[in-house]
Amino acid sequence: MLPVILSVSGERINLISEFGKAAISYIDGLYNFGLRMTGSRVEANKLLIETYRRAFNFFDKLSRETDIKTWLFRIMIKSFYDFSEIKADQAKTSFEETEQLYSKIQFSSTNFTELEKKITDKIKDDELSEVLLFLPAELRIVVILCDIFKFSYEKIADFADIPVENVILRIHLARKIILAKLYMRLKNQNISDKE
Amino acid sequence: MNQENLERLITSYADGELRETSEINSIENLLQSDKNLKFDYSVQLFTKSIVSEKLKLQPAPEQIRNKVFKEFNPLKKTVPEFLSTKAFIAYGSTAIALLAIILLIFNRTPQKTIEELSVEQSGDNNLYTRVVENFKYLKEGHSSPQLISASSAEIKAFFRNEGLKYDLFVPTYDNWELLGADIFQLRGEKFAVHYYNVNGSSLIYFFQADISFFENDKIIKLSEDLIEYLNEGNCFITYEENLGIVMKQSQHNIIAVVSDISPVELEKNFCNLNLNY
Repeated sequence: MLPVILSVSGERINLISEFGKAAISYIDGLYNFGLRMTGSRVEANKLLIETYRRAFNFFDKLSRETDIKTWLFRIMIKSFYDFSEIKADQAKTSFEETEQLYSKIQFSSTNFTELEKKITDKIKDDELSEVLLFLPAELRIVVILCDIFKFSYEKIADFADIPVENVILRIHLARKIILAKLYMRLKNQNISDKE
Repeated sequence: MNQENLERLITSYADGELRETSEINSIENLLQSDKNLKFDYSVQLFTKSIVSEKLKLQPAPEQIRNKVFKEFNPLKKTVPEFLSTKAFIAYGSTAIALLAIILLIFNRTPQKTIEELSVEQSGDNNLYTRVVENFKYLKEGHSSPQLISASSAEIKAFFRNEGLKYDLFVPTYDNWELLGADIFQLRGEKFAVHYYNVNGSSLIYFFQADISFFENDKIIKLSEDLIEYLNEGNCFITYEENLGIVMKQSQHNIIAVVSDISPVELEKNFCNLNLNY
């Protein structure tokens, strides 16, 4: 009995050691990804711990060739979906409404540079962070990985486990929604300033 | 070229991901002639740049880093010599007893109880002790708020004018009236406190500070365990001498509420509080 316990305990220590060496270096990246996905530090912390726990449980089944970074991001994305299943509906955005708004901006703004400047000056970082939360999760994931993490399309496709074509189209749509939402916020701010 | 293909090209071009010279030439020609496409391209470039400029990467908080390190970092999990396989075999039954003790220790719930967490809070710059002292001082009439106001906007403006460097929240409640606000100073840093009057007899003291004040130079302290407890989304609530004390992390602020209202009211209103700045 004792040798069995000892060997299990020794294996576990080795496993922790290997896992620690391989996975801990991605903690900042994963935390930031969680933070932008959830919009909350507390939720990001929970998601991070959950990701590491799940990763640790499957670590011994990985092959030597596995790209640990890709694998960890995939786990975090999966954990995010499981984690926020109930909240998923909150992020739904009407695409039709976005398209209408987008067209409105396109045809009413004679000078897009001016609009860019207003948005840059008046929209705070926190507000932008909130705007990301309006994006459906599948769009939020790709735009965060592309624009904040600056990962290549190929890498994002790996992380999100989708074809590169889908990555590009999702980024395209996500950015249109972001503009429409920022425009709405700016408009609301102008209204409240006038009041 | 269909719409989807155009979208793919324009976004890839904005992200510097187009490789084929023919595709680059094609999109550049289209951009010169098609105003709508040019607008799409400007939108892609602009949103990309605003997201990357305003939402910068930041290091994981110290508490969460420690937690992950504690659990998985091999350097923090060094095995003492006396637990080596050879020693176990050599010491036989003693080793089994030792192993049993170790298993018992490791199987224990790591999270401390509220009582244990309360006992850990001490010292001049400990948030818990300071908010309780401040509440009593005010309640006993030794001081009065710097600002007397029932307006949330006015209180927020007061904090802003006093140069508070973090996002603040002043919630309003139907049954409680805002009473005013103070700037609580500690080691040269300013912290926001505001108050509610409950039926002219009870008082609610509401302190909030950005979590970074607890992390970096520890200008204001809470025990590591309590920070971790709050960081995990838990609500800390305890009672001493007829006072209720609630602590909670909401977004990036740590909130401490002290009051002589009923425990049920205190828990109902502050443990589920989510800050919207």
